[in-house]
Amino acid sequence: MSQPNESNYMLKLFIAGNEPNSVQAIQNIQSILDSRIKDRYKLEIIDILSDFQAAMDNGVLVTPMLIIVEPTPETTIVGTMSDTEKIKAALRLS
Amino acid sequence: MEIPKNKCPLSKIPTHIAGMDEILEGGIPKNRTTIISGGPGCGKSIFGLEFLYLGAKAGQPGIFVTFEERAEAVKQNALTMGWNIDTLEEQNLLFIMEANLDPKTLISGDFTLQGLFSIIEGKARMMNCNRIVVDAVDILLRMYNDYNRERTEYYALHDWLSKRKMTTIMTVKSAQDHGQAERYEFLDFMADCVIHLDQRVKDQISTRRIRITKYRGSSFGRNEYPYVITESGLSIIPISTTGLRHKPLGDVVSSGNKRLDSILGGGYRRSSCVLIAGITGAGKTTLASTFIQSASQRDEKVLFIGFEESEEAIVTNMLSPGIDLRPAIERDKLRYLTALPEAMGSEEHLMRAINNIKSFQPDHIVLDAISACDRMGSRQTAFEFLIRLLNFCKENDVTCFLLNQTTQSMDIHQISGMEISSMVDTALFLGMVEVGGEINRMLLVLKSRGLSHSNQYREYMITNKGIELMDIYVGEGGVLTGAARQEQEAKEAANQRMREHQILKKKHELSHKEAAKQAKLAALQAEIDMNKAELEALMEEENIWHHGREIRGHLRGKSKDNNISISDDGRF
Repeated sequence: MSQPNESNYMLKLFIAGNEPNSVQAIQNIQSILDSRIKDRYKLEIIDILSDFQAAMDNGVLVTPMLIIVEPTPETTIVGTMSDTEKIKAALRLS
Repeated sequence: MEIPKNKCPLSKIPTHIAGMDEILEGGIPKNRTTIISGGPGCGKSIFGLEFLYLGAKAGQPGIFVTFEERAEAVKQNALTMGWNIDTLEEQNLLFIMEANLDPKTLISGDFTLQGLFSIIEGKARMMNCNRIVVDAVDILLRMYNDYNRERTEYYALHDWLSKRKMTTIMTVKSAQDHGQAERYEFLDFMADCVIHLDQRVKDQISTRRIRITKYRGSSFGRNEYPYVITESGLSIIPISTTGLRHKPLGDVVSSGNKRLDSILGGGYRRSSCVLIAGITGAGKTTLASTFIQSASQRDEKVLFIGFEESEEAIVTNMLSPGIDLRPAIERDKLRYLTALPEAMGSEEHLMRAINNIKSFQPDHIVLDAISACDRMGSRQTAFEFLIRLLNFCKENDVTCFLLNQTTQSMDIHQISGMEISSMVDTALFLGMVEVGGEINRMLLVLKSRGLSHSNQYREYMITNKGIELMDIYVGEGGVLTGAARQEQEAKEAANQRMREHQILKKKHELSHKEAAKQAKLAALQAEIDMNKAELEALMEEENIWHHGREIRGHLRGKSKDNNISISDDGRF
């Protein structure tokens, strides 16, 4: 397995329109990513209100929900991503 | 959420679950939420699934959201009941939605159930469906780890579903089972209809009971009803609900024996249920045949459903006590329907009996003997067979004579052997006692609903002129003694204990409720006191402020008006 710091980060963030929680989650995750791995990540933001099939395929029961696709193993985090330390640990950036 | 103000009856959706719609008086409320609560293994999910399955079969699409089980497991369980979910899924009539969140999921900050809503909404629109079963949503809500939040989300879910006019069944783990009755009490207030399933073990036999505790805007059967989970789904046995539709007991008909008539208070009641219990050889069939003979002479028809003897055997045997049934058979006033209990399943027995009743239209039926029904399968199936047959007869004004063979000669506690005693209108007990070195036959009327009857043992004999009743039974020493009295006393004592126990239980319940009320009152009082104190504090502050302003006013030279008082003070 390659070093996480050198690999690319693939993330999917599922949100529900402009729900306050979702807006917060986008801000929080982007600021974490930009501060640590700017230009080395790909964050896909999916609005389940317009794409329920994506929610179904990925088992998105609650929003906001972040799926860290890479680095593997896949990790799921739900919430506003307010706990920076927890997110960093999940991204193995701490 | 309120009871509709216009008087039009509530729209209901039939569940088509055997017996369920009868106690729900039509079905579950349309476009509203029904809660099924119960402990583990009592069939909540099956209830929900069966509702959707039967609906789907009739062309009504539905979504089953499972939070606890894998979709595959749900389908497999369904297959054991012969429900093929896959076919219906292909036709877009049923969808099993697996709503499991990976237990390793991390939580960081607040979240909502919007994802779940979107998926349901999208799928529902695709399938054009408005029936949904939400199975064990507590599993998901537990993620919040906060009961207030959990409650809010329950309301959000309920609100969301009602806005979309979904006819919903939500299964909820029974509150009593985790000792948190208060915590989930709000669910009962929230839902429009609440059905409670309960499984208990009594005498090592597990019994299941169903009870509706709430139905907003509708009446419903309020009793507890036994139900079974059969190979083909849930089946509820409404014992007393149909009683509402049962016609009142009919007029009195002769038992075929004058003396017995007087003991019974006139005879049997038409369209009632008569139980004749006793050990083998006590004369149960003879007593029933006495009635058959007199009924046929009145041109009434009788269907004899026999599980023990063949038609020929019975007819021949009855000749010895002088009862000739052959003319009745020849005039087609009497038909025999005999089969061994093991010959077929209870459902088949039931259908056969019902079909014969429909075609022959008898005034009375005789069932010989209910004790043999156990051999149709389990006790439960026998019970179900009987209850359904009895219900059918009651609704169709047919008198039922149930013969039951007891094992002990004087065991009157066990006369019905099954839990059907509530349906029995007249109970006769035939016993044998040994007095002075001889066996005597004794007859006792335990119950004769709607008639005043004798409560004394009577001695009877089976002669070649039929049954002959003697005078009131008198034991040694001229009074009723021995086993008979002891039995009677024991029975009364048992009844007394039962009543005392029930009274005690009710008292306990009441005192618990009283205590709960007091606690709530105290809490409210405390709140009121707190508010009062706060108000007083505010008023006090206000006073002080006003007072202070006056003083400040004085100090700022407003004191001119008050010269006198100040000089009165003596300091100026």
